[in-house]
Amino acid sequence: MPVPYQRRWFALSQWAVICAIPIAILSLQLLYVAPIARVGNIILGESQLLAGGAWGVFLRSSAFAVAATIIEVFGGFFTAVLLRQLVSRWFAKNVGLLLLPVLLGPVIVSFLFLRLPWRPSWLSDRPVLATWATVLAIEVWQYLPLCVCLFWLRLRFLPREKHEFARAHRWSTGELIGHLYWPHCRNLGSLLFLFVFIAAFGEFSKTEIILRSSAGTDTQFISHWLQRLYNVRAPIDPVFAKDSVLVYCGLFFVPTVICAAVAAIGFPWLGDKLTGLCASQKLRMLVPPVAGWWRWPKRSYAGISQVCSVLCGLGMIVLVLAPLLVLVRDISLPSARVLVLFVCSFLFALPVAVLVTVAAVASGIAARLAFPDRLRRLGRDNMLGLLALFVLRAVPAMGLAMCALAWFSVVSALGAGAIVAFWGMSQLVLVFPLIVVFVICIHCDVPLGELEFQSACRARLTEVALHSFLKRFALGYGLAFVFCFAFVWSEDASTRMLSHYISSATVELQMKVIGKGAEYGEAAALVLPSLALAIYATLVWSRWVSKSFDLGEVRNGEGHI
Amino acid sequence: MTTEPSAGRTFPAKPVMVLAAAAVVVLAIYLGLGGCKPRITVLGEDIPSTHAIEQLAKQYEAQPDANVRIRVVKDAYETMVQKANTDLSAGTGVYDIILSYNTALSSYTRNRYVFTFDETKELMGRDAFPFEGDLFEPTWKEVGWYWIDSKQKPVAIPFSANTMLLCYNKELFGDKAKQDAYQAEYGRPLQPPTDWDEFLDIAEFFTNPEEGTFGLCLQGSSYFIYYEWANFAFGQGGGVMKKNWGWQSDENTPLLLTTQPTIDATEFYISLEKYNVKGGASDDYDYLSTDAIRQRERMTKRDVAMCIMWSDVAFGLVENINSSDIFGFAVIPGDKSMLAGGSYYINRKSKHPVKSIEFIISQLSLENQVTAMKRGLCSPLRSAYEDPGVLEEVPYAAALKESLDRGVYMLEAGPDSDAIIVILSDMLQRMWREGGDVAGALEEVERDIEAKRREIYRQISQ
Repeated sequence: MPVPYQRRWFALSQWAVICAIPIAILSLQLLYVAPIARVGNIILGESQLLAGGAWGVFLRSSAFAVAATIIEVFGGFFTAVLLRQLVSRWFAKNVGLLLLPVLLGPVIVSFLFLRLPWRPSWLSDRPVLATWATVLAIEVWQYLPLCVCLFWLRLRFLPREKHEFARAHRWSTGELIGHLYWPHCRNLGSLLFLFVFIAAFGEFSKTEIILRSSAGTDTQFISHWLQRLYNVRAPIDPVFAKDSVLVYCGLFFVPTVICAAVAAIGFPWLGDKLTGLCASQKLRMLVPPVAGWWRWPKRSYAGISQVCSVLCGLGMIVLVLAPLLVLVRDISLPSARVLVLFVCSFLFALPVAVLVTVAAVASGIAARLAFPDRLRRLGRDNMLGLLALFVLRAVPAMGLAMCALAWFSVVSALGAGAIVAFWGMSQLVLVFPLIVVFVICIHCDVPLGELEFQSACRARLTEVALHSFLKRFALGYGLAFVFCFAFVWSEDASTRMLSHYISSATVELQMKVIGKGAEYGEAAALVLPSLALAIYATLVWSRWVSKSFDLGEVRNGEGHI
Repeated sequence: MTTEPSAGRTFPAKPVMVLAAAAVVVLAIYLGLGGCKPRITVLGEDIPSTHAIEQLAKQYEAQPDANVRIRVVKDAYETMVQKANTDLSAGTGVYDIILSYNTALSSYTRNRYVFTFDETKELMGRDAFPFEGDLFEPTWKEVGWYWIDSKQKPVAIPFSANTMLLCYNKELFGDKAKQDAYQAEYGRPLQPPTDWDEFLDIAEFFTNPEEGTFGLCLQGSSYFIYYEWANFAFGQGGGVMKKNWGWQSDENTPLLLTTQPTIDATEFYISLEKYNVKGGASDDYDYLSTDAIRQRERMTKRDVAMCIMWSDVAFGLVENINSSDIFGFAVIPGDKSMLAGGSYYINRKSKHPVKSIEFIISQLSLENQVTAMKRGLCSPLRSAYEDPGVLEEVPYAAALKESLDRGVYMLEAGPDSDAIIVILSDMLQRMWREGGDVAGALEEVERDIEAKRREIYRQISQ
C-alpha cells in the first residue's frame, strides 16, 4: 500500500486556527491603516498646496532603496564567501558584533554619525550625488554587516557532503558560488532583499538627524515630504493636514508594494543570473585562469586566502565598532532618570518581543507543516503570498504616526490600559511579519523527506515540532528574538505618538538629538545603556554560535540558520 | 458508595485575604497620595521653558489649596503639534493646556478649539487677571491675539516672550590687540555692532582662518535659516508682508519680497557666507544642518566672534557660571527686534478648565516668573526683568528686555505661515548652495507664495 505523500497533521479545527493566524495579522494590519481607507474618497481636486514634487521624492526613495539593497545583499554575500574560510574561534565568538549596527536602530546610528568630530567637506553645499552617496554609505554601514553575518553563518552550516562533492570534482570558485553557495543562501537572500529594501525605502532618521533634510537641499525621503505636507497644511486646518497625509499614503501604497515585490522576487532572480555568470564557462574563457587561481586552492594559495579572510573579518568588526568611539566625545554616566527610563522601556519591549517571537515560531512551524512542499523554498509563488503580511511596511512612517494618532483618539477614552494594549498590538502587527518570514526562511531547511518519513510513521505533532524544529533551530529562534526585541525597541513612528503612556528610550533619544530641546550629553547617556544591552545580546548569541562549532554540529549539517 | 472528602480542595481563604488586604493598603496609599485629585495634563515642546514650567508645576501641586495633580508632557516640536492637533480636532480632551506658538493661533481660534481670553475671565468670574497690565503688550499681541468676530482680541495668554539676540564672544572683543587693530582700521572702538554696517565690518575683521577665528556662526537648516534671515530682512527695512502682526494677514495683504530693501537685505545675508565658520578636518560644523542648538554648541569653541541666537537657547550657553564671562548679549543691529514666543492654550474640551486657569494664573505670578527666568524661561512679564536676581544671574536679561520693548512682527503666523516659511527656507538654502540672482529668485518666490496664499484662503473660506 503506497505511503501517503503528506499526512495531515491538523484536524479541521486546527486548520481553522492555522489559517486564522495570518488572517488575524492581516486583518489587524488593515484595521491599523483603516484611517487611510477612510479618506480614500477625498478628491484632492485642483488644490495642490505644496504637493508638487511628490513623485520625485518617491522615485528618489525607490532609487536609494534599490541601490542600498543591491550593495548590501550582494556585497554581503560575496564578502561572506570571502570570509567563508575564516573558521577561527575568535571570529565565531564575536561574529554577533556584526549585528550591532542593525540592532542599535536608525536613531542611534544617526546620532553616532552626527557626532563624528569632522564633516566631509564635500557635504557643505549638498551636491546631489556626493550627498546621496554619503547617506548610502551610512545605510550600507548599518545593514551590510547584517548580511555578511547571516550569509557567513549560512555558509558555515553548508552540509559537509555537498562540500566534499565539490572538492572531489575540483570545482572552481565560480562554480562553487554558482552551484553551491548561492543556491544554499538563496532563501536567506530573498528575505534579506525584502528586509533591507523596506528599511532603505522607509529611511527617515539619517537625513533628518545628520543633514536636517529639506527640499532646499534635495535630501528628502517620502516621510520627510509627508511631514512637510502636514506642517504646511496644519495652520489651515489640522484635520485637512492629517487627511492630506493619509491620502498621499494611500496614493503611494500600490507603487510601494510593487517596488517591494520587485525587490523580493526580482533581486533573487538577479542573484541567480549573477552567480550563474560566475559559474559559466564563458567567464572562464573571458578571464584566463592565472596559474591555478581558478583551481581548488593549493596549499600556498590557501594560506594567502586565509590571511585575506582574517584581515577582512577583523576589518569588518573594526569598521562596525569604530563609530562607537564618538560617544567618548559626549560621554556622561546615565543619571537615575535615564536608568529608570531604560528599565521601563525594557519592561515595555520585552513582553511584546517574547509574544511576537513565540507567535512567529508557532506560525512558522504550522505553516511548514501545512505546506511542506510549497515552503521548501522562498520563490516567486510563495513570496507574493508572504508579501501580503507586509502591508504595514508599505505605509511611510508619517502615515503610521497619523494612523496611531487616529486610533489614539478612539482608544484614549478607554484609559491607559487600553492605550498600552493598543501599542502592544501595533508593535505586533509591525514586527510580526518580519520575524515570521525569517522563521519560515530558516524552516526551509527541514528536508521534505524527513517530514514525509514522520508522516509515514504517524509521529505526533508535538514530537515533530520538538525534534524537527525547536531543537534544530534554537540558534535561529534566539536570533529571531534578538531582532524582534531590537525592532520593538527602536520603533518610533507610532511609539512617539503614545510617548506619555509608553516608555521608550528611542523616542527620548530623538528628542535629545533634534529640535531646540537637543542635549547631546543626555543623548549620549541614553545611548550607552542601549549599546551595552545590544553588545551583551550579540556576545551571548555569538557564544552560542561558537558552541555550535564546538559540538561539531557544522560537520553534521545541523544547527541551521 | 462513599465519596472521599475533597482533601486539598478547600477554599484558599488565607491567600485571598492577604491579597485583599494588600489591595486595600495600596488603595489607601494611592488615595492618600492624592489619587482622587483632578489631574491637569500640560503638553509642550521639550525646551528649557517647558522644563522651567514643569518644575514650577511640582511646587504648585505641593500647595495645600491647589488640590490638583499636574503632569507635563514634553515632546519634540513636530510630535507636540501633531498630538495637540489630533486631540483638539477629535475633541478628546486629553491635554488640558497646550504650550504652543503663534502659528497655532489661526487654526485653534477659527475652529474654536480653545477658550478665548474673555471666556477664561468669564469662567473665573473675573474682569481682569493680575498679570494683564504687566505683560509685554507687543509680545502678547504677537503671540496671543487673533481675529474674533472680525475684531482683534486676545485669545491665549503668553507663557514665553522670545526674540533673537546678538551673542558675541567677550574674549575676542576684549582682546587688547584686537581692539587696537580694529580702532586703527575702522576708526571706531570695537564693541557690539549697533547697525548692519558695523556688523559686516566686525564679521570681516574677525574672519581669519589662519588664526583660526571666524566672524559669524549662521544657522542654515530649514526653518532656522528663515528665522535668522528675517532679522536681516526686517531689520534693514524690508520684510515679507506689510502688516503689524504675524497673524494679521489675509488674501489681500501685500507682499514685500521684491522691494529693494528686501532684495538688498537678502544679498547682504548671502554675502555673509565668507565670514561664516568653515567646517574642516577637526570641525563638524555644517551650515545647512545647523539649527539653534548646533549653533550654540559651535559657539562654545570660542573662535567665533558673533552670532544671532534665539533667546530661549541662550540659557543653555550660560548655564554654567564660566560661560557668562565668555559670552555677552546685545540687541541685534538696527532699531528693531523680533517678537516671538508661545502661549497657554486652554483646551475647550478640558475636563478641568477652571483648575487649568488657576494653574496658569499661579505660573504668571512675579515670584514664579523670576524663578522660571533663572531656569531658562523668557518671561512675558515686564516686572520680572527688574528683579535684581534675574539681572545678576541671567546675562541676557537686559538685552532680552530691550529687544522685547522694541520688538516688531518678523515671523509669519497666519494660516499661510508654514507655506511661506517652507518656500523661503528652500529658496535661501538654494541661493546658498548654488548662488544666482537674488532679485530673480525673490520674484519667483513671491509669485509662488501669492498662488499658495490664494489657494489657502480659498480653502478657508469654503
